[in-house]
Amino acid sequence: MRFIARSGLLALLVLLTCIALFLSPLPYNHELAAIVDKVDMLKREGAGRIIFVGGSGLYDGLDSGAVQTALGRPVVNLGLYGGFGVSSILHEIGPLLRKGDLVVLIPEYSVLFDPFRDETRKWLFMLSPSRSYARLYGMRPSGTVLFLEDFFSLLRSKMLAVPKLAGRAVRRRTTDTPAAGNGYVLYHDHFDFSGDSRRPFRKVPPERIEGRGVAVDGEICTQTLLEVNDFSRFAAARGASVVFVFPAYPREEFDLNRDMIKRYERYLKSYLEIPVLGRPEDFLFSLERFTNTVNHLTAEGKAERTKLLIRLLSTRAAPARQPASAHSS
Amino acid sequence: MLFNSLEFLFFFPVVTTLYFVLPHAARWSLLLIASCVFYMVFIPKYIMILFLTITIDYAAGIFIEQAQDRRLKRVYLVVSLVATVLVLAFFKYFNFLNENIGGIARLFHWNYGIESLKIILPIGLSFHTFQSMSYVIEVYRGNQKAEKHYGIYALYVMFYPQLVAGPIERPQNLLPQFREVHTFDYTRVTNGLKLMAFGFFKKVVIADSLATVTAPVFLSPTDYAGHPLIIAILLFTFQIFCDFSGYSDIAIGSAQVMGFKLMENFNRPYASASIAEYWRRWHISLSSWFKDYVYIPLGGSRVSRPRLYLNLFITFLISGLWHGANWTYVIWGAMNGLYIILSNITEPFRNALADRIGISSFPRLQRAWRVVFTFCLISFGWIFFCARSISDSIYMLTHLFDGFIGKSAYTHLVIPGPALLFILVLELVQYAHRDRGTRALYAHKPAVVRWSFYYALVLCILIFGSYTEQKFIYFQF
Repeated sequence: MRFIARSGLLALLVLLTCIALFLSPLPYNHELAAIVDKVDMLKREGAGRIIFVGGSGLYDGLDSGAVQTALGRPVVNLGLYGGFGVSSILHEIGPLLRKGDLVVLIPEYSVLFDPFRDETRKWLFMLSPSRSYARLYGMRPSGTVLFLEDFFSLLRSKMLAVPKLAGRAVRRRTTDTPAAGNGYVLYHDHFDFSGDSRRPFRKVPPERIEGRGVAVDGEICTQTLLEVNDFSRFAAARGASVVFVFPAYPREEFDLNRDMIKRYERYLKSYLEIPVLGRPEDFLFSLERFTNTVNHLTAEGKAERTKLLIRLLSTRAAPARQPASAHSS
Repeated sequence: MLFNSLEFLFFFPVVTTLYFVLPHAARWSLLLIASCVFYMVFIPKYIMILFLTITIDYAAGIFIEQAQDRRLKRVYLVVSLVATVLVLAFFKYFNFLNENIGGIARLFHWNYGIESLKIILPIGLSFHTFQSMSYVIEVYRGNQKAEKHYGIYALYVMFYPQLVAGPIERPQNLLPQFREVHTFDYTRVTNGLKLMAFGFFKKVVIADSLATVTAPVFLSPTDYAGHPLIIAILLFTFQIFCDFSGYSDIAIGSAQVMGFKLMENFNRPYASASIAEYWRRWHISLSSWFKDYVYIPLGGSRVSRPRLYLNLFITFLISGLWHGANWTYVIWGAMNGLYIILSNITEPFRNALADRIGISSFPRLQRAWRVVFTFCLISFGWIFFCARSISDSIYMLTHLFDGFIGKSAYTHLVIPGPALLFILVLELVQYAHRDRGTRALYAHKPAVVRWSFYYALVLCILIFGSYTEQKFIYFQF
């Protein structure tokens, strides 16, 4: 009896600690937790927004401020990591859509083939625990094990954020850094008001650019496209619209993969029930405009792409209202 | 079955509960069945190999005891040892030997067409064959009565806590324990569970975290140079200790819960002040096995100096080969043998030097220096242990200091900060238990201290543990 009572008490103490830690407002010491902050932006911003959805090619591949100024609508850049997959993010932002919103999908080519990476699962769970559990883990025992693994990993991430929060508290005495949000502990250091990265990818010599010389080859995930179509109908019912834009890509690589990419273009245009704006050729840049992968642009590349996007979107996104003054800070 | 697997999470409580529920007469059967299940989770058919060696050694033990003639006893002993060694040699060393003969044949342009076998080494083969050999030798020496009960003998070889990676038990210690009646003793059970938790902490919190840094380096060392190599080797030094001593703690703890006392396998080895002391503290059950069954039969230390050095060298060479069928392990073993021989030769000179510079007047400082030096030698030796080939180890040896002489390191390591903190915690806990050992962690401290420690330990395992079921390093041996 004594053994059962004492081990039960220890188990209870540990369980309560874990739950308290999970429910605590501590942020996470992981860059992918930034998705929580980014989706939170959708809860705060007004209606008529331009919401960019994509992977790391958007994370540091867009000047949202310039888009906002040019089109006169608040911009939210949800781009973070392609491993989240397009449909997972759409699943999360669906309930947050408002009338007049324009969702711009710009997934990298690789995201169309391999739409979900396991390491993103726990962060998707964090976005909406009750809605996402069954979808992410299922109801089988193996799913429960995965969930426990993710759950404790989230707790670990919270605990590891504590030293950084302490460092931030010290720094705040001398700087005006905003407090951490609910997601990534360094969110306000790494991202600006609209979700653009403040930390550019490091430029590597052209021969070391990742993905170079790799054939764009794979099956486009039909399920993803079906879910995009579902989402577009859902968005339309809410008075929002969805468009697809091709990702930025090196011109030299495009020449190697022209047939395949043009085949994808035809496939997307016939399959998707949303407007596909422009052509893949519209977003080709010199290899010099890429940093460390064929998806990540330099500052110059980012500026060029932003101009192209503004031009393409200007027909779709008439100014809804003036951006909130806080956004220009 | 791995200790750090989901299966074991169910297996252990079920077997332990049944063990205490069943009457004493039925417990050996339960443990034997449980041990079979535990083993068969890896490759079920390999249990036949285990039963083959068990049957041979069981029969040999009885024949040796019954034989009146000393020569006949010796014949039975030799037959048993040869049979056991043949099984080990076939599975573990055939390909190694074959590849080397093939290499020599190619060198001389001979026609040699024997292909390597496509077999997987049975888990823990080196451990249970050594335990079987220990039994037969002890019966032959008259130190142990032959076990007449086949099931009990099979359990001696297969007892699941120590089946796949030791501690390599002696029959005098383990066999009688299967006939003892073990009741549920709160203190013993909780101490066993605490030791298991400490083992899990070492394995899943420290060793597995360090593995994420060291594994890529040893997989492809040429991608690294300079300080990343040094850091990886130092981290591996702690990784292998936490991995193997963690396994031993779980094994000893899980046996302790059921009332069995297995021998100690580690005693703060990195606090050793000499290589000889290190080998008395590291993998104690194997070191003492080699001492009792190889080193002493060769003549031990009661021989001339050159013969003593030869005995030491042979013992360590075999120890290296025991670890793995690869020249890297042989070199590692030889290196440790040379360390001890050189240490023995240079001892008078080193003592004189210590007197001369006055450090011998400060025994603590002198010991600290010797501990650091021994640690460096041991870490250096791990280069051969962890390298996949001789060429990899040579690359590491020749590129260790690249960063310090101008060349920049190629790839940097991301060191897991929490793991370093936990290594410090581990060392402090071990230091606090340097006299009593860790079998009764913080048992003599006030309740607040004890509970805080257990609480923190469980929480650390849950939150900072790895859930990827990484194998224990010593499982491959």
